[in-house]
Amino acid sequence: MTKKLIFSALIAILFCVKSFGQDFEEEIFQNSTYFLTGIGGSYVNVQDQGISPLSYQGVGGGVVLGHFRETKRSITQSTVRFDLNNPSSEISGAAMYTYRLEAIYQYYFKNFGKEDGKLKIYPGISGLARWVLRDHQSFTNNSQHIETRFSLAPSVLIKRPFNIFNRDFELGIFSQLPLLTYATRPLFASTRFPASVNKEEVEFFDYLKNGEILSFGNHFRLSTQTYLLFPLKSGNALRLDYFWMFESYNAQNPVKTGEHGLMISTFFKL
Amino acid sequence: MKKLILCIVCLSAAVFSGCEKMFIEENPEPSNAVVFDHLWNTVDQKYSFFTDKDIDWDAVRTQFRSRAIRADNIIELFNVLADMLFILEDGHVNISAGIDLSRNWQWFLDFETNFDFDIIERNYLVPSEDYQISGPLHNTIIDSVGYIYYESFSSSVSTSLMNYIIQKFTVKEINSLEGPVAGLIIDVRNNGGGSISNAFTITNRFAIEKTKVADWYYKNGPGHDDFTQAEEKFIEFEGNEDRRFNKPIVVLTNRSSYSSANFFASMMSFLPNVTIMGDQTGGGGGLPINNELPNGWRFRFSSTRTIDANGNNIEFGVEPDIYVALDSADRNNGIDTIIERAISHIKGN
Repeated sequence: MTKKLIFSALIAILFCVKSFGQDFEEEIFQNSTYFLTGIGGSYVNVQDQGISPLSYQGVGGGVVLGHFRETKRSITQSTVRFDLNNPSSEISGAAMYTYRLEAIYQYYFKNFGKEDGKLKIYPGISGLARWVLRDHQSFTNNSQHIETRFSLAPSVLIKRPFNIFNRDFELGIFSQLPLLTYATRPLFASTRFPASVNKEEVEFFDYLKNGEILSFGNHFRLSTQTYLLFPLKSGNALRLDYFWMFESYNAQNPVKTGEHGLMISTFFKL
Repeated sequence: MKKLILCIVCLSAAVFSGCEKMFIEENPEPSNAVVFDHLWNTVDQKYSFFTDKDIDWDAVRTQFRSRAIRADNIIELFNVLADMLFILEDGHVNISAGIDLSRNWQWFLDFETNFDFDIIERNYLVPSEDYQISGPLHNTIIDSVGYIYYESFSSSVSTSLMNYIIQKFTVKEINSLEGPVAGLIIDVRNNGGGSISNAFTITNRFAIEKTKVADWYYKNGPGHDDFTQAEEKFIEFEGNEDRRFNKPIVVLTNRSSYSSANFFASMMSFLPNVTIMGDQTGGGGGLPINNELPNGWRFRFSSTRTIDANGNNIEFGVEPDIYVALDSADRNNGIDTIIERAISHIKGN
């Protein structure tokens, strides 16, 4: 409920800021490149059987950096998002910190898209990389669980410009559904990784080795980024993003994660 | 139209905000059966010493499950679960329920203590002009022999601290002796363990050359014998090269030297100038990990095996080279028999 109120409040603020002059054109991003920065809040709901059978939920914050480019034939968006959350279990009262770094590269083909009036639907492909550290505050030798994913996903972008209260906006959704994923998790009863066994110094790439290639059945992920874009007169823009993701990985220690993020981003024309 | 779009935005936010809850199960029902099954299954799949201890865990389930289900309150349930885990005879296995902490302490309660810190403090430490408490290490010089008492491996020890203590024991300007000590006693009696890295820090300070001390095996599957390949553990000198310590060292142990203290004694036993003296250590050769039960209780259990470089499973303790017990007559006279014997051993008496 709180999230919904914040969401509504941010929309209201955008409507009320009279000082934002704008010069909206339907193809405002045509042949343009933008640098994207954003900040906001996030919420995570995680059930990691390697840690506990209990669900952990909690809020936190995040930042996003990225790049957006639109040409006649394509739309490209690449973002790197970092989130820090402090979920806890209402049953045990225990808490953990989750550190999440996620990079998404998206490429949409305008040539293969469908346009119905102002509504536009573009198919695309995405590459996703995700790294998560869960640090349980009450555990000792197995307090820190790390996992990594690399996914390839078909994706879709749906967008529609509209005018409301004499101001131009664009509403859209980016969505990805990975078909192929490379995933690594710690050993069955340890936080060590298979590749780090017998090594005195654990190297970064040890966390990436000995993973498994997954598809539907063992791994499911659906992520969306719903946005409300508010172009400014200067050619820059503000964007309100709502990120949502659900992931289920049927590993030896299954893990299910739901994530939400509400971010306000600035688009600076390069 | 405008209202419609606004509605769509708000509706999509509302729908997505709770969406994953359709896929993520609620917290499991904390019934007695579910709690018992989670504990039994997790231990069944992740505990590391079933084969070494020849435990029939299926029979344990048969024995305890109906009792757990019949439990009328949380105290009864806790006691049934604690009784079940007691069968593992492992000091690294506990349930922490807030109301109580289950424990198996037979590994020291069934034996003589062979330790009295009051005697050491009153008769060996405080009267000595060399007595210092350097971080977690009580240290002094007793009858020309260096003495270190380390109470818990949970307290961090650094190589620089070890360098200082070795310097203190070898440089006459900063101790009361005319020269270096004749040897060193490291007392880890009643040391219940802590961080294994502190055991390596101290052992490495006395290592002479790179020496293999153990193999670690991590559980990597649900079968009782599913382990990774051996992870070889080595000790190797770290510290001030100009102040290596090659004199005789005696490590004092008792049945309450557990976990990291047990591992420390095992590692030190591979050094040629080290003698283990006192009583057998309490054991604890598995790295414990934590988990939670559906009712929120926390539990821990061993998830690795440690086999020393001679092929001994140190879960069952490290035997001393020389068994020495605390003599009751000595005790009454404020004498620690084991320290006295260690001093004699170092001095070659």
